[in-house]
Amino acid sequence: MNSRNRPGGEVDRRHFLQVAGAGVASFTLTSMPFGLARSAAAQTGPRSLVCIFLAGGADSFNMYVPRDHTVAGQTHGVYRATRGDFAVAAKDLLPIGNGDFGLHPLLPRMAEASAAGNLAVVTNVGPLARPTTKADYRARRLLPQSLFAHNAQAKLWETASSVLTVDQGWGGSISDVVGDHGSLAPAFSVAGSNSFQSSLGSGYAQLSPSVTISRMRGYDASERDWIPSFGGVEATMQAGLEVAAESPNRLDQAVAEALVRSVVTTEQLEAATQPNAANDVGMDDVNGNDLADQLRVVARLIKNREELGMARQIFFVRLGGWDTHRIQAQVFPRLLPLLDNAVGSFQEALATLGVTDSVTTFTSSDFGRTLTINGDGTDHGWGGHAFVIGGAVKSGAYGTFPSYATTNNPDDIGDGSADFAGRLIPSTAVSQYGATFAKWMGLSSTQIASAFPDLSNFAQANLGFL
Amino acid sequence: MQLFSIGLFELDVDGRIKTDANGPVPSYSQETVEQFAKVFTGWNLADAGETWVSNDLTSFDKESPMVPLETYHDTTAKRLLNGVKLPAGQSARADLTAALDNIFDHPNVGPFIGHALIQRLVTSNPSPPYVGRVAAVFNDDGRGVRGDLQAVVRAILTDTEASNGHVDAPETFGKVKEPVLRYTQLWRALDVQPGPRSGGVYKTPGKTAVTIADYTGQAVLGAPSVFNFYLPDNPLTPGDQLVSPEIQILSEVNAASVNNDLFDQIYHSNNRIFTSNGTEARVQIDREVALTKSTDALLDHLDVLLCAGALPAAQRRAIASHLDTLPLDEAGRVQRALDAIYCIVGSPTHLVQK
Repeated sequence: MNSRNRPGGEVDRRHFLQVAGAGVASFTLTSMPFGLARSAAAQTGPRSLVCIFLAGGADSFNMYVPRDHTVAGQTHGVYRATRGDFAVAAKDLLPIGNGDFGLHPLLPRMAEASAAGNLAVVTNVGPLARPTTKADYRARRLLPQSLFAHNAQAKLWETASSVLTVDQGWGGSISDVVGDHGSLAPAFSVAGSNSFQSSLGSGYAQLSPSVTISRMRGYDASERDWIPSFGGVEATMQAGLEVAAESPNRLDQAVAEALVRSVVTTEQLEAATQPNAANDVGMDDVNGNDLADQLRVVARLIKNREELGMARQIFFVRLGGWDTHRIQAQVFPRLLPLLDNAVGSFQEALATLGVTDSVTTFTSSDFGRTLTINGDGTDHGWGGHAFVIGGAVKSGAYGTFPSYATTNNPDDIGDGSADFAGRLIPSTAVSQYGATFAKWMGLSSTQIASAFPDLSNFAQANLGFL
Repeated sequence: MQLFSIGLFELDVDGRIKTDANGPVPSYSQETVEQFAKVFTGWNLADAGETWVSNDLTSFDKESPMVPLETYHDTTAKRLLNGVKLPAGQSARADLTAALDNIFDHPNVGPFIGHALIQRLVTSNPSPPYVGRVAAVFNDDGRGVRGDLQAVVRAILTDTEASNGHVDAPETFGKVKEPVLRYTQLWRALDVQPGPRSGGVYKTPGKTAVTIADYTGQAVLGAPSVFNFYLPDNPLTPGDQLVSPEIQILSEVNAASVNNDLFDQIYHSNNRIFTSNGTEARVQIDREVALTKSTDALLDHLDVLLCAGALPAAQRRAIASHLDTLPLDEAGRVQRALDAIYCIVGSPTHLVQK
């Protein structure tokens, strides 16, 4: 939940009441404190980071595919043999980079981004505590907890951790450093609560693509014109907040604080998020696309980021449906255009706003899926490929591409008669992936080391795609 | 197994997670999942025969129980929970029955289900002894029956922690009311009555049931995934030891939109003032308007009805002093009733059940 509580849950009452009073009485956009001067943004200008979570575990092995690659274990032939009926023919792939690899034919706008130099692919990335080999897996040495389970692996991806008891997300860690915007959190989720933005410090605000933000009735003066008693109601609601904030009961305190945040946030964001001409960002070609509807809210907040006094923003959006155990041949071709059109249209909107270079978008997912197919779909895996899109991106492929061989595969967890399970051990850690974004957002090496405690176990602290 | 019966980790009878040198002890592994997957092979929709129903379920009978097709059943031996082995060659139904018994007999079920039901009915953070007492009733209802849910619910509601938690643990006792309970509590407290039937349906007050999901984060019978609307271990505040599942959907936007919808229902969809030209249901406020002759009597009444008698004295004083500024003519008395109701329903006090 979104909170300014201090670690340990002790409410800072003075701060709370200050915010409560401000929210009810006088807090407006024009009175918002601007944080630009004190932050790294003074040098770089504003920057926004957008996490697209592909919920359910996306089959990224069919999104980025060997095409003309000639390295043993990584050729199109090996891919085709492993993937059987699900293999995408080499001739159908959209070549990117030097043509060794290609994108699925239903990702044309991602391919355009690549041609424009705005797409990086990070291969075989996943949660790891340290570099992990097949022998480590067999011996169960320092493996991430609850491998192959959806919500557990989604959490490890979002916290860059290998243990489930860590609640601080790596997006939240970045927010805690870059958050410098008065009472407005630097992070927004348009897809509900998530571990990525969870934070002990700055918190995040949850918005919705389907509900227009309107300020809390009864808590501000906007009702006065037509309800004569409203001055008294306002004062009474304020008293109710204070009573709950001073209650010995922790739930009372937390709910009071949630309501105060709602009062303040809805008041500040009402103007910046209305679907009106002033906030028009285009993207009309993708109305009804679940992901695009979320990204449109993101684009509005990016458009207004300087007016909101936000030097740094972190967004979380989600597209579900990727848990393709069955009927993958039908489901996958429906999902890819949703992703591709949403990303493509979003990038167009950013270009129109002139902010392509200062917005970076990336994908993450519960896990990669199995290389092998189960007859009707694919099952839960571990490592998978991820995409990074934006004008700041140095186009190309990053990380070590894994072997797709079905025998003697050093990257597979092994087991069974052929010592092959189709589940790949990641060769790049989420910590490395996340730290690269953290660097771009302006965190120092010390701040990055603190946000990604496992990073020091890996040789490369910055993957270099930004 | 993860969500509805035993959970990810081995539990003591009081619901505490068992640990060893490697931390929490997993209650099952990926191999267990694969073994259970073998158990469930061979079942098809009742009228599907040998058709492989994969793409489109629309033409098939999804209401009747599924039926086994033995030729499609994996007849190899299976290793289930707690060392139980199913021999090779059993029928699909025999394997299924044995596997469900295997899960039902797992010692986690009592504390797992007990904890989940306590969270829904009484408090988000029950003490281990409370969970233990409820789990004991699940394990044996006193007549040697395991899994008697009526006895389990009785044990939950009549436990001393349920009746005295607000006194014995004032800092931690209680649960946040989810949006649907806020709506239904208002409707029941104010005896909501349907408007005229239109197009064959009666409308709820305020937003329609279809759009309630967008405004509340909670669609009745429409959870977004198997993980429900909120997680049982969602921390009350970040990094908190206390949990509050329901607060997970009290986002900035949801808190405001639910509040504003309740506001509209109270002020614009009651039987004295109805500003919509639609057919929404209306809350009935005649009883409350009649009580406005005495502010004390009105607040006594609403305290019981909306706060279970827990309206804090300072909040009550603030409401009373506001009400007493309003006139006592007919319009003023309606205003007094509406303001009193909203000043409670829109406040944090109403959001926490203690």
